[in-house]
Amino acid sequence: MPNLQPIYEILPPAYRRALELAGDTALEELRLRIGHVPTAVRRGNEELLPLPSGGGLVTADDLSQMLLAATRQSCYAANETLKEGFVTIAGGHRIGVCGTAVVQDGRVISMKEVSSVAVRVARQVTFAPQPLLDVLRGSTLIVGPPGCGKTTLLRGCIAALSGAGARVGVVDERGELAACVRGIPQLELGPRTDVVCALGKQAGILLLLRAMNVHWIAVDEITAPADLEAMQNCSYCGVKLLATAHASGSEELMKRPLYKRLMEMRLFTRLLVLTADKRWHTEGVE
Amino acid sequence: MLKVLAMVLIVTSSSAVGFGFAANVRTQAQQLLQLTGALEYMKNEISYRLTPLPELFAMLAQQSDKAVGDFFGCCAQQMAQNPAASVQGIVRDALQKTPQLTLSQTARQTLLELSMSLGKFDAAGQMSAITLAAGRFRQELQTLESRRRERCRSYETIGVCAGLALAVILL
Repeated sequence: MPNLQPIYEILPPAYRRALELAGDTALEELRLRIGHVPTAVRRGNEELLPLPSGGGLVTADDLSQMLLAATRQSCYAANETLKEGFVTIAGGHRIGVCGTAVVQDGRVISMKEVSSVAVRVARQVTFAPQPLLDVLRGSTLIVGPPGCGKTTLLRGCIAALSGAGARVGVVDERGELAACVRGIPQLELGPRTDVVCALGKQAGILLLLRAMNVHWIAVDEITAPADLEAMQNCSYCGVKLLATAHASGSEELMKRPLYKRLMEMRLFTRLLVLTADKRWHTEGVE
Repeated sequence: MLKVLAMVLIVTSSSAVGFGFAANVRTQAQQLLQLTGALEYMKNEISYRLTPLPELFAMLAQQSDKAVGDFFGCCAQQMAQNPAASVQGIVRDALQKTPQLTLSQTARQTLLELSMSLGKFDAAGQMSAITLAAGRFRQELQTLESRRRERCRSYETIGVCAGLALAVILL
């Protein structure tokens, strides 16, 4: 059961009461939009949150106070992720922010006039380590369509390897793997895992190679040619790789130029393919 | 004999009041100096490490002495207890709960104005707000220091003389 206390602490009192009364174990998301009643997502369905007396429509003030509370009254400390539209709070819960971006010299410098906030409840999904360890003999690429649980499975693989004695370095560029808060991973990644947060994959991989002497390096979502170069450096150093990519299988991988190049580089020896029903199977790489 | 004793008591207590006022001025200057140092530390922590305010206040509470430490400790405690409370409210509350912080009205106002910006903007915004507050503290400290010697001496002299005068009139 997820720890919802960090979410309660940042909510305006009326919504907090409503959520506490609901005693939500199935809560997946909480969404607050200006001028509307908050909604709760449970088992994929988004429904209006029944409010106790005193609770009304969401105001701009509610959202800006919520955001300040989520950053622990320290926007500057969360500014880098805020520019990307999210803040991670204790417990690993992610607060997505929508509003008007403030752009300077073509770069987003902050977010003003917050219009909606989505609180995504973090859940620790545990996997039996042995079936994963049987598969993780060499560099492995996890592929699957969006929303099928690639990041969750990657986290399971990291925890399994780390638990079995391997040193795993994690480049958590967007804070989705470890969800570190004040340097402490909010999601379990095992006892021998080192996490680099808020750093791009290329720089993060180089840092782990140079400084941490790891056996494995894990990254989420390969999206840029620079990621491939950094991963190639790993293979030269004898470090094994764990990564994820958006594709339904090996056939689709070969249709995308970036992933085609990745496969041609032969960085991975095995594919772990996830299906939409969240099951996985392995495929060898020719 | 009783008269002499009463006279000694009157002069002593009146002098103590005078010396108390003088000590208050010295404490005020000391606290302003400490607060200026704390703001400098705050600036460095934010620009180099982006340390969030709850940790920053806790650090300052440990590093600062007596009243200034109590003030930052109170801020840190309130931030931990109520993450949704505004920094301005927390600072105002902490000022009320730390009567041993003997700041002038101007210095208090400077702290309150700083609290309006703290945490709300990016690191550059924090820097300019803290620099402004530190500048005001320095200015106030300078004014206080320039008049401190004469003010302290006046308070002490007035205390003793008033005691003597009172003793002469009453006895």
